[in-house]
Amino acid sequence: MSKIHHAAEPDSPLVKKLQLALVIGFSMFALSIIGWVARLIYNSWVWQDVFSASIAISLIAVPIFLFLLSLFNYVFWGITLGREEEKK
Amino acid sequence: MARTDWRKEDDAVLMKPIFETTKNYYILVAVLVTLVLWGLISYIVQFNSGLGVTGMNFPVSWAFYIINFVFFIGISHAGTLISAILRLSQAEWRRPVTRIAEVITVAVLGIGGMNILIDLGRPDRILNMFLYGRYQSPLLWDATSITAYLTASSVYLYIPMIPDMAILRDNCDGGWRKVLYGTLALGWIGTERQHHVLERALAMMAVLVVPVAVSVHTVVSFVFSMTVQPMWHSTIFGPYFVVGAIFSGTAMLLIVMAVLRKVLKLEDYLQPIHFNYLGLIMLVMTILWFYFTGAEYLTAFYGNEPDEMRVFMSKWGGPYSPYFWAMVISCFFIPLPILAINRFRTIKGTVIASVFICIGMWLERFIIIIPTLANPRLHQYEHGHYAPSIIEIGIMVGCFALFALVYVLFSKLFPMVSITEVREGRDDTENIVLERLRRYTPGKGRLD
Repeated sequence: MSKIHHAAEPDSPLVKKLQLALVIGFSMFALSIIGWVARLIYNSWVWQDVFSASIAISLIAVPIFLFLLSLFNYVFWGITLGREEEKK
Repeated sequence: MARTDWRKEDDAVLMKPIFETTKNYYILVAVLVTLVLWGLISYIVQFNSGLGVTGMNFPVSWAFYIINFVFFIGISHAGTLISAILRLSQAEWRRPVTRIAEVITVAVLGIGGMNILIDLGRPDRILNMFLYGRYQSPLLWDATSITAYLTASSVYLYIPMIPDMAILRDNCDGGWRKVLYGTLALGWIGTERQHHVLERALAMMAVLVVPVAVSVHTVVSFVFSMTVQPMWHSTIFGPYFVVGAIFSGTAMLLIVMAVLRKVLKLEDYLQPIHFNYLGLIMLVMTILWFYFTGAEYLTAFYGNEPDEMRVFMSKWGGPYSPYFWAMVISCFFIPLPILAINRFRTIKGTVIASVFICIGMWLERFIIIIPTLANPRLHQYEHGHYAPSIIEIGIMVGCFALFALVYVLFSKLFPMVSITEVREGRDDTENIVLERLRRYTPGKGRLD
């Protein structure tokens, strides 16, 4: 069995903070990809550089990342609230 | 939450590699780290000296790194796609296979993408892609679709792991493991609401990842087919690449399954029937691959366009013919009889076929990329040739070792077979399958 140094309960503040960091980190990542795609669309519009191509690609990419963002948050809050309800 | 002893759990063998470390594990990690270091040192040499230290030249400006990129992205189809299809079709035998497959996807997608960076003489200029990228370029389509697939695959790997994280959390005394598993478990205690959320999310993800996975390898093929290079400018390239990806991905999955079965002693979980079913999927892909290859080459041959024919002949009977025929033999003539004959479709048989398919599919990518670049359409350019340098070989070995290392480290932290899914299967499969049969079988009264 591996070495164990100190106990940390699953509900400890550290774990809760890390869980929050996980969901915030993922959300930031997904939003930054969406932001990046938006920037490329903006560039193509400003430079008049085949704006339609950028729109076509972003119509596929942005909804995927929005979906992943929503789904991850749905899982996180769904499971967390599921536990809170059980406690009550 | 009361701590349980993992040794007394039903599926203790799945947790054993996590809580117990053998001497062989350290030896394996040391060997893999050494190989990764070899790759890293090779890259540092290339970074300092420039791409001149590779075998790449003019006009063969894409070689090992792009071959590996396409190969690794192809293998990534093993995981999420196969897992999602099996989940959607409610194939009960999928339970011990899905995680093994999903980990392959996440591990190799990162390494595949890394090969693009390695191929850049000035990797610092990647920042320009983020700042000034232009969506007319299929290379940027690649970057976007691979990022989407990697993100979706990571989420798809993580969501079904949540209940397993809770099991591990409850089996830890404390320390960093408790924090890690506690964090990843998200407070899972298995309430009805939590189960509902998880199942719903998983069903939605399974639907999403199939088109995303298919689109990724189609977009990878666009990097070639959107050019007018001989034998690249083909409408069939999208589906041809997708078929090749699923083909090589399934083969890699079978190899990894066999290794894990042996090393982690998972004989009870990964049974001959799993190899048999995956072998049948691979048989279908073998035939499909042959059909697409035949269609691709016959169309080029019948068109008899001079530039295409130069490339065609260099593969068929010219300097690249040994690789071409080795590919055909490895991808079709060896695996076909092994997979088609019941007696040969054993664990050993499917693994032998898989090894040949992986070699053959790597050669396929070689055969697609190098001969076309060596025989460019523009006649003012001289014909080229390519031989890899020791630097490229070192980096390639490093990439494969990194894949194995990521896999080994993952297996040290997380169970390679989903404990929850296996338990569900053991406890509920009979009722689930009977209920399903009742729903769609004619004369269902006889089932009651």
